[in-house]
Amino acid sequence: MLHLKMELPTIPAGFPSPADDYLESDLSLDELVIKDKTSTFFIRVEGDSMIGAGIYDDDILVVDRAKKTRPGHVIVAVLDGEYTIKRFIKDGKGYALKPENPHYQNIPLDKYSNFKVWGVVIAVLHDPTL
Amino acid sequence: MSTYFALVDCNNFYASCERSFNPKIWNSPIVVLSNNDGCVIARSNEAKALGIGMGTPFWEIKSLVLKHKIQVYSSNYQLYGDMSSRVMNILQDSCMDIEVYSIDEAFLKLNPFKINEDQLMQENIILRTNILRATGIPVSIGIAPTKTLAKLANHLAKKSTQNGVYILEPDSDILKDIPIEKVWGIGKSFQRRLAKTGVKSVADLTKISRQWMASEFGVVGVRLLKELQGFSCYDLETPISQRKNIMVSRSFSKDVFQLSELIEGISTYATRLGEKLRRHNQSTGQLTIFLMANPFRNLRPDQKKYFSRTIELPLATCATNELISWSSKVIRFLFEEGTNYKKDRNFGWATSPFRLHSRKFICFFRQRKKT
Repeated sequence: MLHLKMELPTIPAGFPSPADDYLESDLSLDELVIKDKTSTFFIRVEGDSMIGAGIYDDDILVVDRAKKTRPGHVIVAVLDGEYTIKRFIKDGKGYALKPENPHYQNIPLDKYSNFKVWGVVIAVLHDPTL
Repeated sequence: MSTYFALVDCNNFYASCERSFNPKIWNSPIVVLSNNDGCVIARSNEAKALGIGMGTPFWEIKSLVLKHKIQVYSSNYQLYGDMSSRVMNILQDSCMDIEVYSIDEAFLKLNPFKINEDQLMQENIILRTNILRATGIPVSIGIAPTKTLAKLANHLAKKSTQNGVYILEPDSDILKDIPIEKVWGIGKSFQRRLAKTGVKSVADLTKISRQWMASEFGVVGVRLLKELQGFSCYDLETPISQRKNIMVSRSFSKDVFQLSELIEGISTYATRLGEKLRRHNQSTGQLTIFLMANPFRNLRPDQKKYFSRTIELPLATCATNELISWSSKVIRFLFEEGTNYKKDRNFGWATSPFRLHSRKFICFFRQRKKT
């Protein structure tokens, strides 16, 4: 005859318990990269204007919309209704969007620019396979 | 200043979600269609201005769409759900007492210690700006002493403010200009019966006697009247009242520094939780432990106040001994030397998602203790 005996789980004291498995968090790319989950978005890159900054066509950018933009940041901007990814800089003439590719020109910004910061790039996901 | 409720409502939510990711349509009229693209379920302000009504069948507006270059979207509920949870998370960070009312609305119970109206205004403008910056979603915030008035205040915030925040007091003159059909819970028949007595504006309505309301509309009518007069009858419906979560939350009478004392405390709460679960024939598969440092005299150099950890249990349970064992493990994990835990309210923890006993998993393959 088969007896199925049910028991409440035992609670070992002083031994590693299976419970610890549930406490140990898995390796999480999210936790590593993302500071604020509510304001962070992923964006796929199109184009080659930022290869000098290690941002290539088809890479994925981690973008924080709430992060305060400072000169030196790579930003996702909206310029004349189009997305663009550039480095936000301040030089002698004022603020500008700087491509990281010698084939492109800086885009100076002034009060007439139809320009808005969409978010700050906080990480790049890049597949290094050639 | 007494307690205030705030209703935070995302403006044209679905349309705003689409807009958030597409700068080309920031200024265009937008409509979002229902499943199978049958009819209009969301409109941007520009589309509303073109006279497109809620629920209009799509074929009816086809010519308008061409003429005004209206941007048309099929609904993308995954996106809207994601954006909604972002907004709600920001709200939860700003306010402990929150009722998520729908995908795009939430009631907050504001801290009654905020001393004056200016401060209240400022804080909510900042909240609104934070949400807009983090998600690209514009929200309107209506603030008033009751939920019904907060709903009206939200309407006013949308219609008549630049900054999207409106504080409405029950004695405000503006109530004379608001027709009663704008009031939450007043339907067509309600409205007709009131109109017969000459009641048109909300201000008229607040002057009606409670006895008359009681005889005409029963207890619901009286509550509505009291809410409009500024006496709160409807509190937040928090997850606790919906019993999807159970929370046991108390404060310590003095600051607690020792792990052993925390474990002692959490065991008491675990016991209470077990009792509550069993009383409702429920078990929990998830446990959240929440600790708070004394907010008025925080000894931590980083001033961090809240600590919490959620774990999934291998089997749903309502057994006190299991709950104690799991929660003391979590508390060991959370505990940090030198923090003065908790003086005021809420050392708590909630549990969700519940399963009924009858559906509970039983594990037949658990290792048996050697006897």
